[in-house]
Amino acid sequence: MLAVGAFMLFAAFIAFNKVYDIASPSTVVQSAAWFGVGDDKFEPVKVQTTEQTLSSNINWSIAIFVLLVVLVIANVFDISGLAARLSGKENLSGNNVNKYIMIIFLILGFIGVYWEFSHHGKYTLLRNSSSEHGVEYDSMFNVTLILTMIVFVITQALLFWFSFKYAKSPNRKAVYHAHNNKLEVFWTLIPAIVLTFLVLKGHQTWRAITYNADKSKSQNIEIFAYQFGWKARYAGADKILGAADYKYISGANPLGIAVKSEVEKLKLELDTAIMNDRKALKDLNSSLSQLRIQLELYKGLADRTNVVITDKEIARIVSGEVKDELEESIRRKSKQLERMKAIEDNKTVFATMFNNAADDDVISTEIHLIENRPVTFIFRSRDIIHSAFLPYFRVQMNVVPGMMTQFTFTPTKSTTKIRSEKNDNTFDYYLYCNKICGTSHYNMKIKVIIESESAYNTWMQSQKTAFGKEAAPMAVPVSLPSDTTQMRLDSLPVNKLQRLTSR
Amino acid sequence: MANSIQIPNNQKQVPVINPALFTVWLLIVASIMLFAAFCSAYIVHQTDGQLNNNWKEFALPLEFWLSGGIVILTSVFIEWAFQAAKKDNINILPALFTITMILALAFCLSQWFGIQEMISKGLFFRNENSDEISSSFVYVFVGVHVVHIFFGICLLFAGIFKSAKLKIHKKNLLFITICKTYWHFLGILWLYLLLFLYFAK
Amino acid sequence: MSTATIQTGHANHDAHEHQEPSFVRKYIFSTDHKMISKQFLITGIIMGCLGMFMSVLFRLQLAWPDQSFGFMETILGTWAKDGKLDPNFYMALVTIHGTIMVFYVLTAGLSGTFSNLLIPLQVGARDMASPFMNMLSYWFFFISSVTLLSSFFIETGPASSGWTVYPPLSALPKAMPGSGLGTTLWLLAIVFFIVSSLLGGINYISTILNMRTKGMSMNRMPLTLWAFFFTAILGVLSFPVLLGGALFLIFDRSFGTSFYLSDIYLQGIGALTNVGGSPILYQHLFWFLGHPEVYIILLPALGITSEVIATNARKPIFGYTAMVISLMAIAFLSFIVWGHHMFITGMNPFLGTVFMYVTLIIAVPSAVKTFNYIATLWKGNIRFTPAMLFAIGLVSFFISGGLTGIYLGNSALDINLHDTYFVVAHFHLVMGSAAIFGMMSGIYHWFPRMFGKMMNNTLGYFHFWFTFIAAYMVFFPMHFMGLAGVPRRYYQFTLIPEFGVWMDVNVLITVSAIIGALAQILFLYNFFYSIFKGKKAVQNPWESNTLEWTAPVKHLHGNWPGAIPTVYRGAYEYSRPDREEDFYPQHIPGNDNEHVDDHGYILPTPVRKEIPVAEKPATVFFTSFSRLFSFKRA
Ligand code: HEM
Ligand SMILES: [Cu+2]
Ligand SMILES: [Cu+2]
Repeated sequence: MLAVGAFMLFAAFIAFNKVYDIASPSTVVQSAAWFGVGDDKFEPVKVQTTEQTLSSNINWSIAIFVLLVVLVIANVFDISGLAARLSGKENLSGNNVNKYIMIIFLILGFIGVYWEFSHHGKYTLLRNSSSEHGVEYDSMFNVTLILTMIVFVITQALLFWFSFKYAKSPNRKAVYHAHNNKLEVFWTLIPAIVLTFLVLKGHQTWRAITYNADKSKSQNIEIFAYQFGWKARYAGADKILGAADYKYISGANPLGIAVKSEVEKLKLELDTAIMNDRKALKDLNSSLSQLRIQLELYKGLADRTNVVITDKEIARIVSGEVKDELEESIRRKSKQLERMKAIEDNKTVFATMFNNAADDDVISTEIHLIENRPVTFIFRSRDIIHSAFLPYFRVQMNVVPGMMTQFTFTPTKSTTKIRSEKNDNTFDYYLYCNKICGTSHYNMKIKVIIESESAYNTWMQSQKTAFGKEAAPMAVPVSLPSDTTQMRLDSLPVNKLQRLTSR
Repeated sequence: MANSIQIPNNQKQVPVINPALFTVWLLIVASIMLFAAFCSAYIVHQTDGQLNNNWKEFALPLEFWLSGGIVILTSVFIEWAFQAAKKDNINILPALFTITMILALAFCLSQWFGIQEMISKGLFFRNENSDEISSSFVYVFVGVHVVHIFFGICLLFAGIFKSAKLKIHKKNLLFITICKTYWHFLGILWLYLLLFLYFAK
Repeated sequence: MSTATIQTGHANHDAHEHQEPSFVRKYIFSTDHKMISKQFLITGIIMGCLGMFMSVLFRLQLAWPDQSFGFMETILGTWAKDGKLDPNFYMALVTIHGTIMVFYVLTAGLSGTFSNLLIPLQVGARDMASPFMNMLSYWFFFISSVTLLSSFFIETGPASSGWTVYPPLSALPKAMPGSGLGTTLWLLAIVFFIVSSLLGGINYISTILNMRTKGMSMNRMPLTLWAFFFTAILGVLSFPVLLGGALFLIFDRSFGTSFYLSDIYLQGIGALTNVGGSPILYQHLFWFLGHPEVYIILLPALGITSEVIATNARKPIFGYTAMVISLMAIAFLSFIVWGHHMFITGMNPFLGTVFMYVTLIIAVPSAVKTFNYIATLWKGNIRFTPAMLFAIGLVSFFISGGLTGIYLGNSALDINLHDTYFVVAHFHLVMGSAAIFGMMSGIYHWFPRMFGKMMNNTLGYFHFWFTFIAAYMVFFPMHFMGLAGVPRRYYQFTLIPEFGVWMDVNVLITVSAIIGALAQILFLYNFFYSIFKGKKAVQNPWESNTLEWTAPVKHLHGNWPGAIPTVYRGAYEYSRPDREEDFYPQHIPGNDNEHVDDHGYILPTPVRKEIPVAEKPATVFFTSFSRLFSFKRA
């Protein structure tokens, strides 16, 4: 039976061997022998170490550590088990071995935790916040860390220490002790008090972050998310972010901003598309017969790929799938046109939306921010829920279609500064997507550059407006007091406008 | 439920309430949670929709009120059946079960007409416009409730057979108690939904 | 499998029970709770192996993103072209892994198995309140499992939007391949699953409340029963809400409604017509189930642990009343904290504050439970059976994982931790590993009861230590990745230069995961070998107090051949000073220290005289709760 134990060890060992290329067959057999001395007959197993190794830079220490643990267990087991059997007493060997492993585990565990903190702790973001509120965040974090680590150490130590200390002994009876109210009240109150403290401090931090007073002074930048990327939109020379709506999105106007000429183009595009769909719908039968003729031709060829593709296409038409798709597409596009028209018909809404504010907006594939200047990100999603995550700034906010979200913060550490701090000249801040959003979720990021005001201005001047052939915006839109903002995106969401009209 | 274990006589165990009946009550609790979820979703959408001006108000079709009336009648008849069974007045039971079942089918019919009425008024399940979610909800309420009714009709159907075989009487009230509990619940649920849709504005 | 021989000629059995049931009735459509519990267990183990295997597959991808694994192409075909996982399939694996582990292994496999096995046996009933519903519950679960797994055999692959299947990603069939038919199957499977859990849970509650044997008042019930009871209540109240949420999602996907959809433009399709819905609504409905769900997973494990620790430490569980109250508090609070999963959805910050307050309160009953476990060990006489080891392991995980909950429940800290590997570490420790250990503990402990055989201890020890150490090595380092801002559900990290430093950690984690997975072979071998060839079990191998050990080792329909035993005391009278033996089974009559109330009802033995019971206000306060449950019977 224990041969399985041995097999298990081999399996683990071979896995190691494959990965680390450190084991020699002789040690494997040896370790198997440790098992074999148990109850059952020992069956030697032949080991074949595979030549194939995976090259990777791995910590040898871990492998050896695990190995040692295995060997020690096997070793201790056999000796004590044998001894017990010889003396004919109640076999407590298993109990004793486990008792000692408990205490060994406790010690090695604490060493491991310490090692983790010292080794990997340095990569964590516990004290290098790059934003103003991040400092508060970090202090909240550290307080929690200290308190929880104290509890962690005490409770784990007690758990394993008691397991060791009070392991079964034949000459002792457990103490009958069913409860102690004082003690229980005590250890209900202590966590309650500590948690009250944590909650209050947490509340304070949360308030400081979310009810940010700087909102009125901050620069508004729209962060637009789509499968799979990000765009940043700046207000341009007029310092106003123009209105936008998902209905106006087109190939040329990926953010759907309210620019009259683009909307006209889109209308034409949709009209043509509807016409094409209608035509395709009418021609469905003729295209089916055409496909069938083609299929016959393809069948004569050696290459089967075309046959398969054509077969599929025919099946799609025959089953009515294509028809449904075309009808659905017509319905969708007509609806879109209808809704666009409804906005046009409502003079006030139309005037508010198409006030030319969007015409000079700048759309960028990098986010540039000014050091120590508050900024409000206004998030809009085209399709799926994404989440804008800027770990260095302690910023995260979901980006939800049909809903605008925002986050105000003040970056304090420029890209140059963090580079020199990290001693890494290639380091860059990124905004990641942190909500599962599809195939390329893992690669949905945009570079964030924090720089001085002058560098920002230079960069901004090199930008083009979204559609204009006009030159770069001359006046640089920096922190905007809200009263100069005719229409701030967050005060008048576009989809509300659209809803006013689409009844 | 018919398979419930027979408790041997030697076991002096007196359940507070019959386990099978209690089970039905728990099912009712689960169903209440389901409708509570729907109703809270309704309120969330409504609040949000009214803020954004895209929540369509419309009067419920009269047919739904009619089905409210019918469902009260079913309750009356099943209660009558229960009382009759309690008094061992068992030869009228099949008739009462049948009447209740016919009423239940009439309920379904009136719901069907109600839905037709909604369709004719252009209130669809499928949404073309933002303000149509309110009508989608009505479909959900009606649909999920009718599924419950379906199980109720199955019970009544079984009741007809059982009572015809004289298996329901003073000493064997479990089945009819379950029927009655469930039907009263369905009635109350439908009336609640009506009032909810009427008053949640 | 052991045979359920029916003893013939017994006075208490109805005539129909004399006949040997057919194979189908006995092993397949069985209504016997013991057989159903075995069915749940075996299905759960199979699902668990699949879930684990999936985690190894995607861990390989994370550790060696550039390596080609030939065997993957062999088993997965086009999903792993050239031995490299497809990103879509990676997502599918993660999703199905999460779904399987949460619902199929730790809800059905854990709670289904042990509630079924233990509730009738420990309350002293012949079977569940409704054995037929119980059987339906298993078969709905089975259909659900098959439906879920069948999605691996369709062209577009299984659901891939995470086990939470948030819309719009899951609502738009064209948003990613897995959101097509795969998600439809996922939703169907979940609907079946909900039906199964409801049928099961309702039965559990009904049995516990109505079918207790004579003398088994609520305050004498073993903590396992209390845990199953609260678990079932949580399930009955929260699963219907998920059903509602899932129905809305089905309608949005297939019937063109807009409950969750608004203002969407999809690449390759264009602007959709849906407007007015709210994707956040789904999250509310989902997490209203989702948070209780994690306690549905955890509470049975805690209950099992209480029983196992007390039995093997040979001590009364410390603070029985406090344990019950904290279970109740956890169960209650779990309904009002769901918002902590949504701190950064743009919800009203005030709401965030409220959810933070209630969330952190849960830490108090959890802490009480931990301290009580540790106090139970104190001055015990601990027997390290494999079950006991796993129970101790659970407490250790519960501490480690519970403490990180204090970070995540803090809305401010959650800003930077949400959806990072810190979360993965947290829930795998507190919910994944802890509950799996509770399940293992239960299997080792009640194996003799289930199959009439003993499992091999030595293999159990190896199984425990390998798994325990491997689990820590897998999940502990993940905290640090999360703290460095590494997002979860990423297919690979090589495209982000900053995460390069974690490559060796990823390798460490994967190697540990493989070791942990291999260790389960020990368990599987031990389990199946012992079923057939294990040592015969004696009546009460662990010298335990509870009623299930009084039923014959050989299974019979109706559990006890004669009368059902009467209960005379609580379940935790271990090492009583006035007794020679260190245990005192519930069913053994004994008038020592017992007194009878006005209704002829036996009150629990007053423990330890040194604290005068009636005087301390705290005592009065706590006992008042337990009195609440001593339902008087007519
Ligand atoms: C065999 C040991 C296990 C390993 C190595 C493992 C590993 C992982 C990893 C690495 C992830 C995150 C993948 C990603 O975000 O890209 C994950 C996700 C998950 N795991 Fe496990 N896991 C194991 C066991 C369990 C258990 C026992 C549970 C039970 C609760 C569980 C539940 C989950 C859940 C719910 C998710 C989230 C799925 C999602 O993101 O939608 N896992 N697992
Ligand atoms: Cu994304
Ligand atoms: Cu939660």
